Amino acid sequence: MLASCGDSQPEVAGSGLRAVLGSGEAPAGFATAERVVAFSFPDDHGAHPRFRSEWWYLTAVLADSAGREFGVQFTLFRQGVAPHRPRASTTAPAAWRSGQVYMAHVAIADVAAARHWHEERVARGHPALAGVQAQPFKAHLEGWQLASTGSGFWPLRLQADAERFAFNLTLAPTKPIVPQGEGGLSRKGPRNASYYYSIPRIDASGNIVVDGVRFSVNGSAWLDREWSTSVLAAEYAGWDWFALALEDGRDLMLYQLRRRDGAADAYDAGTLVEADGTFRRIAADEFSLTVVRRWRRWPTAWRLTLGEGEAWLVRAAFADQVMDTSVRYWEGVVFVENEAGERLGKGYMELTGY
Amino acid sequence: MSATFALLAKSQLRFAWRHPVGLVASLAGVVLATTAVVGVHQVAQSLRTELEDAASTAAFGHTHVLARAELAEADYFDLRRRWRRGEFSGIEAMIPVVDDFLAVDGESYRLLGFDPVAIGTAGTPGGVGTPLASGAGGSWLGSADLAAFLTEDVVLAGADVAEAIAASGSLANVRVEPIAAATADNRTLFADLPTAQRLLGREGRLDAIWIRAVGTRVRLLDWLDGLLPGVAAALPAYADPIVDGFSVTSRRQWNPLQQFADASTFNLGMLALLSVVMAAFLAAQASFSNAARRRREFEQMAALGVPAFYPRFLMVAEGLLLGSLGAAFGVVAGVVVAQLLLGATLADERPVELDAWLLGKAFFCGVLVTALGPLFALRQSKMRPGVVAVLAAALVAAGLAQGSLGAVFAALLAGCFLQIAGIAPSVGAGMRGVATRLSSRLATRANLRAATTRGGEIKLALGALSVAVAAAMGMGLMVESLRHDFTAMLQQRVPAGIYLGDSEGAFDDADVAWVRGLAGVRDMRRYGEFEANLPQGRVRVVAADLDASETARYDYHEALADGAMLNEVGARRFGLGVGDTLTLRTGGIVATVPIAHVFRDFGAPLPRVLLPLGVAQPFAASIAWPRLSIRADDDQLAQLLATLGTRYGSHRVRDDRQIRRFANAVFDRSFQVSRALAVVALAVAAVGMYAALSALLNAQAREFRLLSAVGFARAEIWRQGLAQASILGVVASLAALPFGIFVAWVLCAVVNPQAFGWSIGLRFDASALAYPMLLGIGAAVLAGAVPTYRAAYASSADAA
Repeated sequence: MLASCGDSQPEVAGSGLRAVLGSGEAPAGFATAERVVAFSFPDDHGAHPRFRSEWWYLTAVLADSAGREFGVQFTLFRQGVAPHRPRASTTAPAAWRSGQVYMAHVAIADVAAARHWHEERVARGHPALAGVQAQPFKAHLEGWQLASTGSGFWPLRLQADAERFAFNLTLAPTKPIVPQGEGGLSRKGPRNASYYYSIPRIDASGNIVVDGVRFSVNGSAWLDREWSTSVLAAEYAGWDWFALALEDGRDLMLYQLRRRDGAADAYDAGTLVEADGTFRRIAADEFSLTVVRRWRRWPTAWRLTLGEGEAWLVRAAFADQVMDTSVRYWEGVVFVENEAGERLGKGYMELTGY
Repeated sequence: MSATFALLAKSQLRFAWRHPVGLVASLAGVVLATTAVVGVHQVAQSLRTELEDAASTAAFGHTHVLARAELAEADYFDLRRRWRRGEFSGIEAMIPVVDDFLAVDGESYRLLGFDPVAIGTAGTPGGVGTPLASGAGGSWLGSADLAAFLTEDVVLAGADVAEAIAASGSLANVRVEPIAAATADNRTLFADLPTAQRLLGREGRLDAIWIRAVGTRVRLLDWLDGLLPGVAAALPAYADPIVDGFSVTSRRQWNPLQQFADASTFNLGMLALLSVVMAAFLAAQASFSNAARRRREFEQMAALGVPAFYPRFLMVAEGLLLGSLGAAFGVVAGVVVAQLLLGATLADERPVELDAWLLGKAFFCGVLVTALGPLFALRQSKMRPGVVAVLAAALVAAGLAQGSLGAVFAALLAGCFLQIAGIAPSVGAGMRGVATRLSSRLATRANLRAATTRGGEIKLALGALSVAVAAAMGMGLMVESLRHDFTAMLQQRVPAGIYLGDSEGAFDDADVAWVRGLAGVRDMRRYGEFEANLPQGRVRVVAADLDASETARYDYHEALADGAMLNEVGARRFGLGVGDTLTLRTGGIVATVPIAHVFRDFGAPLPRVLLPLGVAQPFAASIAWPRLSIRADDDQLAQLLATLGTRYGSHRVRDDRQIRRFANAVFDRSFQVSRALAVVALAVAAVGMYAALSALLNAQAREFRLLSAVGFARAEIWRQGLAQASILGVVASLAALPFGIFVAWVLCAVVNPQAFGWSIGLRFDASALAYPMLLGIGAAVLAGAVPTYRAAYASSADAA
């Protein structure tokens, strides 16, 4: 979800990534997401260099045996700097000429300590530096990677060693792939769309290291995949996105696009995945999000109503989960509660454009 | 209490109105200091930017260069893996680089190939921004966008070079685009790493890995450098990172221009510091004098119960006001001075920028010098001069022993304190003793006694005058010594005869044959030039027939056929000497040559290597031939000059006498600034002396009234006063002699080698010593003229 916001937003912190991420206009030469195309796996787990932007985005809410909770984030962004073209246009060594720039973000949130660590790396697409392959699946950037452990896509292993934290998790699915939007075509405006699928409620187990202390953890993860060339039009300031695992076995993805003029947007959408893996799309008029509390400029607690009967409080596990990277945004663990303050679920929230 | 305070304030204003000299001196000092701070900051920044642009090696703010004999891409990836695993802390970025020289249309260009994505996102002072950045000060990609740079064969160059290369079509299958960033470097081509590898035919190979080291110490040095430009160059550098299997060279060492820029800005920074110290001296001296004049008034107030801090508070408040006012004038003057200097030296059209940091710094300096003076002036110092002198002497010794540029400047500063607290008073005391024995005339003995006793009372002003005279002596001796070396340098650089230089092209074999055939030509020598990389850094290489007559110019005195001569700058910078070997690499050719001789290369900022033609032969493709020297029969000289001028243009033909005249004129013009500075220092010292003598003579009014009452004529009293002032000048000048010689030695033997890489042989010159002494005595007499005149005529009026 993030890179599309970066396409048009001032939160790209003047550091140079703006040029990499490009503007909101669809540049000539790249393919665009315009019609529904059936996903084809395992190829669609890999990169789509005909499109300008793409990301592999995994979040997990985990706990150790004592119930201490942690959030884990791994995001690999791909940005094509030029439309994919045959090698004949250059005589230089091909490995360097991928035409791709990758950026990875990793983070850990320690809920009990209310501490959030994050790190960023940027590298050029090169077999020895960064890249993504579909089979066997591997998405990597200089040692941080999400990769299949065998010949099939599952199980996956997520590994990252950062300066003050590390994680090594094994991931196995419990629910099938969920195409978002209209059969995987997620429209964010009259001329803007992406291809988007999710894999909710993935079993995650392994180790994390925080400030030199190792924890054995397990919990639930969420994998998002999205690729596009022009996701978000210029009239949008950013978006608020939620991926929630409810304790009744349902999973919910919702996002609202925030227009610069403050008006509600017809392209807000979501998907509710039942415990058995069946899912249904949620239209903009089926849900509402109201800010309950802010920390600095970030809305860290929301009242979420879904349809006629369901209303929840979605609040940050703790306030400061800002990703102070080249692209500045808020990404962290949230809890879902009822009116009485009982926990009904947990997940991740992403706030961009603030 | 408020009534008392108002009374005091009125008294303060009345005093300022009646005795404006102190105020004016303080104000002038602050303006001087602020002008210097602002001007030096601007000039230093421009100089540094200009020099860094000229070399392009400050690009991306890298701090170190990692190299090894054979460096493959695989080594780079392996090193990155180790870095990413946390093996090397404090490294922020790691950039693979191909850095070599490429011959295009007979010209040798530096080709810098790198991975722009590896530069990362952080900017560093001194860098030219990252190619990924956009907006002001960011991307320098110009008309080529990042996409083209990363995916096509694009080379970036300065506009003129880009146009020329693109027009010639010499770089096959490469698009040459003008670079967007303002850069003076017209000899460097930039390319994406694989593009450069292809152009040089070295796919899979690298020449170096640039790294950007970060850490608290680096940030502290950057901050200090912002405060006082160039100061970081004089401080002990942070420890270079250790990377197994690689030689680690700091950018300053790798890029000699960077070192030159640092040294130059450091010296300018020291000039600013000197100005601030001088201003503080003026303010303190004015405060001392005011306090001395008003001591009785303050004592009466204290007796009436006025708290002691009231007068001090008022004087500090006055200082703050003066400091702010003076700083405002100084900022304006500093901008004007900077623009004048930039226009004169760098032909720099870039606008002078006044940022909040610089303004804050200027005002802080202004307020500091005027506020501290009164604080110290109104305190009774418990520090004994002897203790100060011993401490200062210890600091001088420690600074010299440590030997770094910063330590040596600290030693010089401590030397000033030693001069003020120890040497000048001692010389005064010595003179008193000598005078008592030598002179039988009562008036002379009285004058000497009075002057040298007063010397103790106004020791700050006397010491400062002595320091100013010493500084002028030191500078003068250094300039005269440098002039001697400069003459020797001209002898070395400009062979006798006709000199033919061609910066626009090169002399080919046809030119050589044609010149050789001219009437009157006895001998001719052609000089080739190219740039090469050593594992330790970059050098300029000169290829020539190094027969005995040629090598004699470099003090070698025998023909050289199979070795190299390295200049003093290169030897010092790379830690090489006779017997070591140079591994030269350019255009993909590598040659190892033993060093046969290290020669003094007067004034050269860059490492230089002389190679015999045979040894330089493998690099033939990279060699340009821009110079010829011709020995001619004297009677044919005029005709030969005319013939050569007709063919090559008279501006490219000179005989050695013309060159030497021109060089000496430039030399003299350059050092006018130094002389002017010496005079300014003396003038400031004279103003301080004036303020001190005014206060002293005011305190001695009763003594003068007594002299007048016993029949001394006013003129006689004035003459006596002038004699005493001149004796003070003599004391200051004599005391300055050893310190002046010490300053000259430090400048020649320590500062110059440290800052610029070449030493100056210290030579004594009587005029360089006598001129400042005379100026010092004159300054003292001038400083004493008005106060003694006033004292003489006031005393006689009172007596009448």
